[in-house]
Amino acid sequence: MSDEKNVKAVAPPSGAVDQKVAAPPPPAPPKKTVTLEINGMKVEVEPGTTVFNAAVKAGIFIPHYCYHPDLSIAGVCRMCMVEIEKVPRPQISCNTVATEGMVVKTDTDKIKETVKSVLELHLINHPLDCPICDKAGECGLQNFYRDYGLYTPRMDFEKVHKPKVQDIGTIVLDSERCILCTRCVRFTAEVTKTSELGIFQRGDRSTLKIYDDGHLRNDYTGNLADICPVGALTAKDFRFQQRVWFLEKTASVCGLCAHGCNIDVSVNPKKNELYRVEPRRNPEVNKSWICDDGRWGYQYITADTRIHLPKKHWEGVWRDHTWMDFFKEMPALLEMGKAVVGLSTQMTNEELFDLGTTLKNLEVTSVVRLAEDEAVEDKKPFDGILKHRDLTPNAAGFEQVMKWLGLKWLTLAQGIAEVARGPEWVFAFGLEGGEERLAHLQPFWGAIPATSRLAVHATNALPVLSRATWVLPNVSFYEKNGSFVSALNRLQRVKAAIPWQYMARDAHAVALGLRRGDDREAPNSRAGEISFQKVVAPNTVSEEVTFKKFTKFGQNVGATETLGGMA
Amino acid sequence: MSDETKKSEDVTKIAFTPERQKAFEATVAKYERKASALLPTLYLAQEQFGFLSPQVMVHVGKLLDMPPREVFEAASFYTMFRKKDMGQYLLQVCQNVSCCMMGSDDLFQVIKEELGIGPDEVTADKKFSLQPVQCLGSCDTAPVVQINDDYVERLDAEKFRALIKKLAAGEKVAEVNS
Amino acid sequence: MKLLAPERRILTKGIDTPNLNTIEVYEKQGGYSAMKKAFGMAPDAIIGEVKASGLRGRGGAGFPTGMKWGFVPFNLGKPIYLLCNADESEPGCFKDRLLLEKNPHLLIEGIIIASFAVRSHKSYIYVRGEYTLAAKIVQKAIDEAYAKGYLGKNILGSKHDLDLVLHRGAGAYICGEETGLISSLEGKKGYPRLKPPFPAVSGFLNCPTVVNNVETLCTVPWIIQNGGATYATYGTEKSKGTRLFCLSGWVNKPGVYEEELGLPLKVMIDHYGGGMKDGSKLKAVIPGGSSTPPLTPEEVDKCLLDYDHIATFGSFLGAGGIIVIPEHIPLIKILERISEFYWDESCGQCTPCREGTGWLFKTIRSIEHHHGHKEDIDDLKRTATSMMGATICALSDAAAMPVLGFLKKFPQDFQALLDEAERKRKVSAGRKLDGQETTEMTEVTR
Repeated sequence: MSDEKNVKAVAPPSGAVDQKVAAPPPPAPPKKTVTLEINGMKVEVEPGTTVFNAAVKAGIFIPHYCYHPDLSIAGVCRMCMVEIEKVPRPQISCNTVATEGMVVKTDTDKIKETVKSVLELHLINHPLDCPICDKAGECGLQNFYRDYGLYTPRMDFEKVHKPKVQDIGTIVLDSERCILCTRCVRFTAEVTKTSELGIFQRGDRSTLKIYDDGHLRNDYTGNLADICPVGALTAKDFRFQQRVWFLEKTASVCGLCAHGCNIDVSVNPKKNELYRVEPRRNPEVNKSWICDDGRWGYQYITADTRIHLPKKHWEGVWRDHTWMDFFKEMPALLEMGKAVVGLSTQMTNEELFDLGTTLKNLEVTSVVRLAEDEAVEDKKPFDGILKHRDLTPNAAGFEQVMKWLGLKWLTLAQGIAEVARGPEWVFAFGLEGGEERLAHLQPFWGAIPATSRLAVHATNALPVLSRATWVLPNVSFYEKNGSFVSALNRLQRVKAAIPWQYMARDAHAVALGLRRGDDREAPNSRAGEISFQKVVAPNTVSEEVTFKKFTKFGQNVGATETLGGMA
Repeated sequence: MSDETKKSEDVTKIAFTPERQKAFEATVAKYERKASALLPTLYLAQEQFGFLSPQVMVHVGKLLDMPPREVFEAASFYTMFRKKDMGQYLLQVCQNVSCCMMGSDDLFQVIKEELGIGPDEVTADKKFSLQPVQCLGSCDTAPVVQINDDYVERLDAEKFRALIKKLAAGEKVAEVNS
Repeated sequence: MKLLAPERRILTKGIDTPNLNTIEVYEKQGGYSAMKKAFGMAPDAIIGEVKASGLRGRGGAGFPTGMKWGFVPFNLGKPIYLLCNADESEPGCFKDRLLLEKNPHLLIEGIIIASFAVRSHKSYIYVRGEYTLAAKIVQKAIDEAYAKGYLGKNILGSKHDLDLVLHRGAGAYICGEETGLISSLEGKKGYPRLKPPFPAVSGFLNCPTVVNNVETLCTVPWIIQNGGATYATYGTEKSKGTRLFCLSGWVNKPGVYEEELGLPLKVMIDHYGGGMKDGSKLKAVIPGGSSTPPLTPEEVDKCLLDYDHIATFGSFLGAGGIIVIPEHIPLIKILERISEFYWDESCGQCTPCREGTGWLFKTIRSIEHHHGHKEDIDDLKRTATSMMGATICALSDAAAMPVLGFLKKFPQDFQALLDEAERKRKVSAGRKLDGQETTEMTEVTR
């Protein structure tokens, strides 16, 4: 296994997003740095860095609305004013490039006064309907009012009125709450390149809307609610659902396609209910974005189709069973070498390793990769942004783990041929989601002759289950600890945001059960953490790294040599 | 925009007349980038269609390879583009400092009463529309009213009454002016 | 005080000659000879002459023209654009319209010379949309110049190419701001752009761009013909040359008058303007267009029309729009119109301007309608002050300056209105009480 370590050294391909979205890099500047002083602190930055970003580097927060690290500079909110020595008036820090010896102050009385007056101007026509606004608690206006405002309102004229509660698809637009920071306009122009949103009219009549009063038409609409610093754009599915201060975030990775977008999963811990999934900024993977499928794709975990208990279909009758019953029955069947075992690339590296080890010990020879073969080869997002054809998160990890195990495997096409030969048993482990997400498995299911028996470990009901013998409840990636390797060969950590429900078990528990033939050890999500530290980290990044210590931004682990299955 | 209007004014059916299409092509040729021809193209469109409907703006966006959003934004930003039909004569009355000092407020009232319309409205015979506007750059001849392309200067109530009679009778503004 | 003799005029000499806007008449008057002379000079020598002339931009900001030209990086390998700003829209200013309508070839000649100096081969005249007559005249003049070979390829064998395009705006004051003009010319809303980068380095289509006002460019042929040093003998030590002053408001002879910088404002009003109309008493003068703070009658008596002297009175020459206000016109009405203008014309991009202009306008309008409150003056001052220097372009300042100026120079006029509003409120409250319940009495006395 140790000779695999050199894969680390291979230069990782950089994120495809960066190449698509960012402007071509300027000619390489001479390698030197610029040192400036912010609030008496020396900060060393790359030439060309703005004062704003230099402050970020120094850990100094500058209030802002229109600045966004993954969008172009607009410089319109005028909140990020700083004092620069020898410059008579405060300047916006987002468009001021740091120069050698520059002396910047962000916390003087003059700046506080300036920010206060600009904030006051932001608020004079804002409806101040915080009690019924979903942004309350994470609103830029509220936050900065607390930090810089706290004045008595002076404006007592009728406010400018604009359209409210407009349905623009997945998002509800309130033009009156809008502070015209143009983040959303820049997002639709620069990232999705769909340009639906614009600012119409001028002056204080300026109104944010969709140009033809239609709906948003891109696959990334949810990001608009994230980047809106106020309550002008709110996600329809989150409206009036939950006050944000009741939610706790877990930093994880999206398991709904191969890109591996970094996400925060928000859960109300009192109810253990998942309320929303948001992008977690990772400049090298997904910047600040996720697609709508990734954001709202979590519904399957609470859907009616979710499988809660192991079931066995025997002599025409479905019966609820325990995992024990399954574990007692299975090893014998596997050992007979007459089984084809499909492993979903939706499982974590740790699950794959544990389960793979068990299969190897049981001398299972026919292991099939349950991923769409062609889609897996397509390493770049098909829409040039984030979306991959491969809707499983860990095909790259699958290859690596199988290599560590020295376990030969079949592509889906080969697997189809294999099951068509009519093995006694066909197993499919680690499936997540409904029929649509697993559409690539249709030919696989279809190839299984009626004479073969089928056992499926899945989160949700699938049409094929009606002909299965065993149906076993799986755990979703929102409930798992472990890691995925994205299509860009980035090892990233998956963290459980909610506990396992009912009798669902992950593949660690399945592997343990198969090894021991019983279910005595209580299932827990710690198995993934331990496996990460023992196996995955030493094989990819370092032996020193524990699951908790591993960077939440992931690490490139280089390209794996493709074994190409069992040719 | 209702589905009915969408159907009745199908974008694909909107096209410049052959002469305007030629003028459009000549205009585009003057610029480095097509998008620069936005304002002249919108003028051409307004000339032909009377005002800029959403369908016309979408068409202009296609002609110039621009996202329609940018066309809609510009059309709403610049005051000389009309979002609805106006009368044959659009009377734009300057309301700014010098004109106001020289009596443009009273003049505006007179025009309103004479025509029986308010700002942005059209007379029943579709002949006149009225708009208050900002400084027209003719402060030395205040108060001034722009009627379509022409300025009418040093206007007072009496001159105005005579003017609309002539316009209603079919005389051109330029003739009236001289 | 010596007035500028008609034959010494630089911009308006013979401007009333019939058909001066045709190329024949213009050339008969000696037109296009400066262009021919310029082609015999080195481009840098032309820039040198303009620098020596001390000519400052006549669009309002007063930036030295030669210096502006000198900033252009000629060696970037990118095209250089020369844009003529004919988007004259500041209330009180109408000088560029005069030049465009009466003497378009002077402008074209100025543009040819300037383009030669700054190595530009493509130039646009951005004329405000409302100036339809001017646009027609200029377009005809451009066509004539092309026909004569003064525009196009290899002009008069000089190896200098220049294409000149007339571009009409469509009703937006902000397009007179140079980066707003550039945005507009690129087919966008006229949103001014962040600086840096400055247009001289990255302007129209991200190429080096020079934006000059009509009057500025019209001055260039004379400077080339007669020398920068000669031009510098006009005007004062620091404010050189002549300017077009637009005189409007309550005077007998409003109009555009060319004079040397340094002329007493009083002379402009009394001599050129023929004094106050109907013998009215002077109340105030706005000296440089609506954005410039007003002058009191005492200041008018002392003020000289040059960049530095007028600054000592807290105002500016701006774009030369002198508006004379008589005693009988309430200043609040003037200020209301000015504030309405900036509220209407703010592009809405930057928050302080977008929100501030509306707030100022609403407050001033409520004062005008006798709904003012005693805090209003302080509120106006605070809001206006916070709008100064807070935005991408200077429109916010342009909106704030007259408010601060009027309040500073004529505090009593505004205080009187607020006192009146307070008095009326008390009276109406009292009236209301007469026939009503006593509980409301306590409300009022409180």
